[in-house]
Amino acid sequence: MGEKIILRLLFLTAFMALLWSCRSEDLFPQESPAGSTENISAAKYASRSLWKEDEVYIDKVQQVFLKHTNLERFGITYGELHWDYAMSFGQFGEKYVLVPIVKENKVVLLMEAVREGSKVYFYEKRNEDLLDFFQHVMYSKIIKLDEQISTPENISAKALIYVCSTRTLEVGCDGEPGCVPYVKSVTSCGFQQGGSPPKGLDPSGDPNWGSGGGGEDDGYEYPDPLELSPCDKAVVNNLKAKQLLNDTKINAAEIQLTGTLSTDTNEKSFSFGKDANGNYNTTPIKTSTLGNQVGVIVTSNTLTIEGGAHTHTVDLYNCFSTGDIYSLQGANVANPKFKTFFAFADGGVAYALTITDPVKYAAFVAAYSAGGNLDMATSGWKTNSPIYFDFENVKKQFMYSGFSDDDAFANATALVLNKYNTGATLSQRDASGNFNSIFVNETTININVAGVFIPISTYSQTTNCNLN
Amino acid sequence: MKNKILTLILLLGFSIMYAQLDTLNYLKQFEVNKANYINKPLSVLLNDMTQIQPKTAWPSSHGRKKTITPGTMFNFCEIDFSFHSAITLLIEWQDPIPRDQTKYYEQKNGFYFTNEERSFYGTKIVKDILVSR
Repeated sequence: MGEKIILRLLFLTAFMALLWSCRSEDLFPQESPAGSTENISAAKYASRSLWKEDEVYIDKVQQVFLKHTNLERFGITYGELHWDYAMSFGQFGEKYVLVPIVKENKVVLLMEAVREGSKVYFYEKRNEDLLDFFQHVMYSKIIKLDEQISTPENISAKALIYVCSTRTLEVGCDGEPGCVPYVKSVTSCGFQQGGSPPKGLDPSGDPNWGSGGGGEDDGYEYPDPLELSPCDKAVVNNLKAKQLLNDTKINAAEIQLTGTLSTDTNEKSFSFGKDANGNYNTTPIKTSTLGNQVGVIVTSNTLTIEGGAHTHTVDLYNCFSTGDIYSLQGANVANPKFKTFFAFADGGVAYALTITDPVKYAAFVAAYSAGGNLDMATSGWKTNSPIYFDFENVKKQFMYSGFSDDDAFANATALVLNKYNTGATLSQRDASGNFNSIFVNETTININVAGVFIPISTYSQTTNCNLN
Repeated sequence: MKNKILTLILLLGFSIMYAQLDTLNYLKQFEVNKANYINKPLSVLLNDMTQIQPKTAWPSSHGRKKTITPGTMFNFCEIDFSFHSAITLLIEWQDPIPRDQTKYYEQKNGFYFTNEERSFYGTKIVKDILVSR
């Protein structure tokens, strides 16, 4: 009897659970965005976006906003901020977000919050496509979604580092006859400078407020910006490297520099930086006169130098030499903005050596001085440097695996940069102009040979960042 | 019986360890006495190395020029053991060898030090000797 009751109860529970699970068959069930009487703009942020967002940033931006807002006046002037639906559109690292502002269940405006250094700026964004997109995200039945991240092809010199996110959603039908699902797609590339300045948005709700984005151009204090990891910095550096070489002036200098590279017998170089108007320009091209080693200009009266580029003639390895590794660190000491170094080789080959941590870079050079480790005559590692055999071991194994001398050399360089925690990293340009980091893993295993354990290292390329 | 096997394994192990150390010390003697070999063909050194001969030969980059082989690293172990702390006899050449010549032998014999390598490198003049592990 007791067993029957228990069985019946179990069936009943299962049936109730079934009913509960059938209450909605939406792929992404939407709950009412404004189901509470409390002020939505002040509600604690908990993401309800359908995509991955920079939640740390959104949370911090909300704190900044609430510190400076007059919620009542803001509500009358603009509407209610729905933080839960805020989207960073593929931007991470606490720098960008769009927050929908809603009046009577309609997304009427977006608040764009942009961080620059320790300040955050608020702007109005009235883009009909984006407004429509947010409207669907918040109030429609979404049955399918997608996101594609890309780097823009043509980036102006003034543009910030960013990626573009194309988000697509499909709105389903509620069983209406003849209804065709509706697909909506938008692309956002984060904050874009240039053109007419964006209209600032005042957290206090003053509609006649200026266009500077927060106390005119002052912005609002942002709490403790997140320090990027070395791997994040490598990604940012690679995007920046691409942007730099896509810049009109720098690109023209690269073309001029490499035009006769296949027959050149001397290295050439130029440096690049921003002029007084914030536009990139380059220094005149220098050609080596002695020993085929060209210097690079580190500071300039007319440009704020950010980096340099030089060629490797056809008799030299394509990748950076040991001397180049020390040169970049020296340049960075003389000019902390000097963080990017390019090496161009025949056939359109380009490598970038960039700095992820200047302090580590300086510590490396202090621990492994140029005097003790760099062979000035050959620009390679001294044979008595502890780095020499590490470098050669990697090169040997990659050559044995069938890599070209140039690729084996580049992989050996990448291993050394990481293994010795230099704070600098290596990447190579692909056919699309993207710079891809070169990471090499070292795995050491002990093999038992007749009772004696012998360590064997194997080196392998990996796309997974292994920077410390 | 078990004890005998254990003793045998230990003896074998120690003898291999001893052999490793012996190789290093043996080669170090040639580094110490490098004056006898500098400015002479490598064959002089190879002929004096009666106890052991290189198993593999690797080009040393030794700088940024890729058209030359300024030095050659000789290893004395099987190829799989040559990529970590392998005992290395590094010979710097008086005249760097054109890279296409060293590459020819690498591609032909897969980095192994055969009689062909012995003949080829044997005629090259030694500039310096470094033994390391």
